[in-house]
Amino acid sequence: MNRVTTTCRLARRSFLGWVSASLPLTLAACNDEPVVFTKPDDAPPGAIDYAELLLQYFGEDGLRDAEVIGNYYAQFNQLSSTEAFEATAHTRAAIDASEDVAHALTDLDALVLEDFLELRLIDVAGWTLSSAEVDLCVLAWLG
Amino acid sequence: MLLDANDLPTGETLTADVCIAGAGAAGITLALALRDAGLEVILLESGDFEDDANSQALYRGSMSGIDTWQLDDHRWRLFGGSTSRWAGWCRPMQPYDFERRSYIEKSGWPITYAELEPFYELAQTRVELADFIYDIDTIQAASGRPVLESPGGRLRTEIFQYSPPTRFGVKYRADLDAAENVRVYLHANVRNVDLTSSHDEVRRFECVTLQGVRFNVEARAFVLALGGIENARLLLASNGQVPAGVANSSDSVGRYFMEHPHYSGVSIWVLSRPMDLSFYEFHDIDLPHGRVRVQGVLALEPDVLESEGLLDFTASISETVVEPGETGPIDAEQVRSLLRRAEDERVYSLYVRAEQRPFRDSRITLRTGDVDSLGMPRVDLNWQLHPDDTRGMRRALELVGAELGAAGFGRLWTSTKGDEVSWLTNPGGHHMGTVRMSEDPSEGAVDGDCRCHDVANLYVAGSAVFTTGAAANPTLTIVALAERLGQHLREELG
Repeated sequence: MNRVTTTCRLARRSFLGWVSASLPLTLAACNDEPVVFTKPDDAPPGAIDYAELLLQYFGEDGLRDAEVIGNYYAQFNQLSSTEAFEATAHTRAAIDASEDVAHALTDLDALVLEDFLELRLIDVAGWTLSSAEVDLCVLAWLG
Repeated sequence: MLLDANDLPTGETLTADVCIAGAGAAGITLALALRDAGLEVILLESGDFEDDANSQALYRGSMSGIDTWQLDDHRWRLFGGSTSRWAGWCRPMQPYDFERRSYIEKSGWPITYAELEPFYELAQTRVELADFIYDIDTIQAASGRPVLESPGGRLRTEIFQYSPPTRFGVKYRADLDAAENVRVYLHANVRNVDLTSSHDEVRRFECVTLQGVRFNVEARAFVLALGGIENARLLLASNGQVPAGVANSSDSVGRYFMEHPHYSGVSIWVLSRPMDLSFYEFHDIDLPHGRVRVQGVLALEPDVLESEGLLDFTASISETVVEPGETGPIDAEQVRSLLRRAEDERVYSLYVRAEQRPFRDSRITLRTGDVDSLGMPRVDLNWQLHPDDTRGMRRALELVGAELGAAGFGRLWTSTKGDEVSWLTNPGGHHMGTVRMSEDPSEGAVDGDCRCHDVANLYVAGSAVFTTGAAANPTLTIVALAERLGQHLREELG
């Protein structure tokens, strides 16, 4: 499996830092022109701390596995970090609509089950996964 | 009575009401079904009571398609036929298997499940099983073990019952020996189907033994019960009077060869929480008329098969150990990290038995210049799957994975290549479709009574007549069709 370079990885960690802190960020994406993200004016207050959310969702060891899965998914589909991030919009919207990390975890559990029920599926190297959990893996990889 | 064709004088002509070629599950069942009707029956068997290498060698041929087996595997040329080796898996076809499915070309039998059901009940007894009960609610109640839930309503549990397994050659040998109106000739090979001058009736079977004894059988009705490959072989090789072979005006004899592709370990299921999966193991249950061994298998609901345009399948599950790398770039243990609060470390493997669609190019042909020791042309089997079959199998397993995910049971990996399942395609030893049943004489060789469209007194028994293969092992249906043919011949000739 191809692994991302250190340079790219740092950029992606910064990227999630933007998500977490809700601050504008310039991202030098892998194989991409730099892309500027701007926090929308109507973003909800008290946004979720993504790093904390992902840590709680996957656990410390599981987070590394999630990163591997997210990395594989992005590499296999030749997604730049920008594209990979944008593809997680549905799941991020669900997270951002939650009051706090605890509620977000509950909402994500429900979303994953709903994905399977509604056949929002993503094949990752033969694994039938829910769209939301792949998004979380991508966010873990970006983070 | 049991006789040896080698004891016949060369040139002898035997006569009977019915002559059956082949003493496997179909031939023996039919002979028994005719025994009490006062009809004179001759049952011809190429082999002996035990394995005979010289007779078995008559099966050899070549494989030009999927070649994960050889032509002298899976079928056994002796009294009792391949029931001498079968594992006893029994399950009837489902009502929808007999119906025309718009998404499967050439599907739709000329008979319905309801017409065959009474004969399934007879077949159940013939394979030494007590009750013809396959509905999951009754079996599950008798078992007391839980079946998997399906929150999306896509997944269903089906069952197999297990015959002891009945070795027809052993179980029914004494019955046939005692039957004065049934003459069983061992070492008797049908070499040619000889037609009348108008080509619309069989005049006689021309027979020969490996020791060189030649004899003929004349009868009012003739039945080929030689197996899914040999039935077609004999019809195609009997081409002295009709170049395309006997009963082949539709050009379907030898074509549409179907198997049940078996994919062992094609999917790996990582469990997320402890579950009682014992219903999916072999276990014994008590039904009203006796004890039976059953096993649950997974399948998709018929409405899902229809809406998705999928063929049927069943999947057995068994606990396994998965080594790193076995599931490709993402290991099972990595995926377990997605299963929050996973409380179970077990991994299961899925063993899938699939239906394949009738495919004209999947076929048996006669080899040129290659004959067996009786002078019969050997065959080439070009077993093929339509690409839609492997695509459909991939989708089917994806839907199983979705249901396991939706129920919180875990995640499923399937070996894939693009949108197709990618795994070694093993055979089930089930040879079907080569003398297919169709209402339309231009689409198949036999009608709903297993009578050849072109030849009024020639019938075919066994899985060669299957219009579609379903996802059920064929023996129970072979026996049921033979029982039904027995009733037809009793009415026709009695």
